[in-house]
Amino acid sequence: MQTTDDLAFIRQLMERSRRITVLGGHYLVVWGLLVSLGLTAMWSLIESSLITQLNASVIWFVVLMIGWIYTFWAKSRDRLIEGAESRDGFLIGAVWAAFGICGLLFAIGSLALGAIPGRSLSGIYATITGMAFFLHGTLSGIRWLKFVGALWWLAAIPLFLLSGSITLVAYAATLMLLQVIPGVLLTVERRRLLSAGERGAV
Amino acid sequence: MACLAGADRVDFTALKRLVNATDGNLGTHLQKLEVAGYINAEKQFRDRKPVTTYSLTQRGRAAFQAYLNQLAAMLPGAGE
Repeated sequence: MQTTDDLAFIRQLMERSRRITVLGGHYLVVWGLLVSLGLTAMWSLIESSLITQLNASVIWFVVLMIGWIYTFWAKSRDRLIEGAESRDGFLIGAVWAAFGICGLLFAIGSLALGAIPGRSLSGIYATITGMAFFLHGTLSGIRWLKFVGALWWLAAIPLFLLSGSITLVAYAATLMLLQVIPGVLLTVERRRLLSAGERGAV
Repeated sequence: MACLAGADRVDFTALKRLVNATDGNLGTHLQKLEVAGYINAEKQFRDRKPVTTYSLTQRGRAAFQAYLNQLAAMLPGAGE
């Protein structure tokens, strides 16, 4: 029936424009790759007995600087091309900003101040990453993100239990699986939604 | 209207992609909606490029919701 089709089309358009405001995966991909690189560098230094407080701090300083510079640059660029804004998108941005600040503070607390044992960092990051994904999924209505959040919480347990350089490898692998891949999926989904209108697809 | 109802603000380019309209066609529709008081148009310069973003007014949201309600009332079994 025409009316049913019209309503369905309208609702799908509404949902499509809402969803493009809550899909922003490129930050997840970039940060996931950067931190994985940092962890790999740390693991290499440990395995070759070259690790010191100084070079560990340098690695993470470089990772964090590149990450935050990219984030600020991408944010200003996104304002040009993002296309749409919504309250949900704003709140999700706030969740990830808070996650980033917490991550920075934990890094300072551990590496600079020695207040947090280094071996606990992976588990702590997995816990707050799970929280961020879970909130992202809740606010956006993208259910599989909540599942990713839960997987992060599950991963936190072995990450808390592991010790030694294997923790770094385990955390890097978890990042690739549970952050980079979801980030790619979100980015692809956003592009698909934006070009669905051009393809005439609903 | 549907795209603007789903987000708080949508720019011209995104709207064009979402509804698959030409510049002229979309521009005409948006102008009529603005004249009717259903949408706000905000013109800005970002990186020296003009960008126009649109949002629904309260009147626009109410009119759109009334339209959706009318459509829903026409569905089979809606009056029962």
